[in-house]
Amino acid sequence: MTIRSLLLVTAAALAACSSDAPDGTTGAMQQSSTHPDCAPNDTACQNDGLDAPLAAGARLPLDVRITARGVAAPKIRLESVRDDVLSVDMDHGALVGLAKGWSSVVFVREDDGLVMDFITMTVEKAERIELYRLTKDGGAEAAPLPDSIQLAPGDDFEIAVKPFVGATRLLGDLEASWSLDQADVATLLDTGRPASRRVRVKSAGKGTITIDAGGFTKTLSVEVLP
Amino acid sequence: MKLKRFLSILPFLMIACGGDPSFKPITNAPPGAVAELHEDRANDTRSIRLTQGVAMAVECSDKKSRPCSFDGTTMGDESVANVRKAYADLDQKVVYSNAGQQESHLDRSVFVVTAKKVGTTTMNVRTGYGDVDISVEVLPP
Repeated sequence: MTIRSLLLVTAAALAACSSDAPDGTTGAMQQSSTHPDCAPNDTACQNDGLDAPLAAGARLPLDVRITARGVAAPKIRLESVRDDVLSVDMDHGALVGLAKGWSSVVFVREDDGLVMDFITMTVEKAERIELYRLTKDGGAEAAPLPDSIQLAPGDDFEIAVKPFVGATRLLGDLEASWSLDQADVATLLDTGRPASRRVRVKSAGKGTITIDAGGFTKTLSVEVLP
Repeated sequence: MKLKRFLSILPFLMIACGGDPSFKPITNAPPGAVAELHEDRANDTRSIRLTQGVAMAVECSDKKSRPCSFDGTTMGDESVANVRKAYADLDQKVVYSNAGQQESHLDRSVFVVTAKKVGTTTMNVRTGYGDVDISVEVLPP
């Protein structure tokens, strides 16, 4: 076999492997794939997996898939090794960051406690929050919103608050309170997720959206042009 | 028995006679953490060192190189560390017996140790050919 044909075969084998590779974060025993419970069309979220620490005080719904060969996924339960760092909300299939540190999360078969795999999560305390506009597929735009934006009557979009430590955007949804000082300018609609709101612009004017989350306050000034 | 034939079955005889049980980690520590397994065959002692909060998967074979039976394995202080049987999607282990006359393909035996609280304890592992004590030390993060 010549070197060229060997390289071609190797490249083909690598391509075959990568196409079979599961999305998300592979478990330590390589028998599971985990990613945040993303919006259905948010492919970036589905592929990236758990690519950052979880924010303390934030909730992260998880999608865990058992990927062991020839095994139909059993009913599994998640267990945190350190309950003081992160806890598991099994009713909603979510991890909840509690304090800075790390903890493995073990995926065990519900019936008999057999370990199927585990991952290790890091929890960080957020240093600030940023506000993002969400795209139609449910993912956050690349850059955060500035402190003020201009809008037109009829605009309708979703915004979400994201926790940061340094330049790293942390995982998880923080509990947040939202308010708008001018109700005639726009309406904030509850999306069902605490960290996001839908903004429906009504009429020309100026207003300020204020968000309190994770001990931080963020404001967004909106000017609706006629 | 001719020397050549004797030499050909010698490796199987050595396996059948048995050696030490063996333990092999199959996972690594996350960055900045410790997940180590130490064996000192001179004095037949074993220890696991884990950073608090970390889990580690270990494959276990008994002194006849068979997968450990594991059932009945206990952790001395479960507030310090926990041990559980695990499923491992690994190729089966080939085991020879009866001077190489029998060949068996057996499912591997893997367990997972989780480090819950800083401290030390001892795990007693049932291998199928005798119990083995492993010291478990959980280190502060």
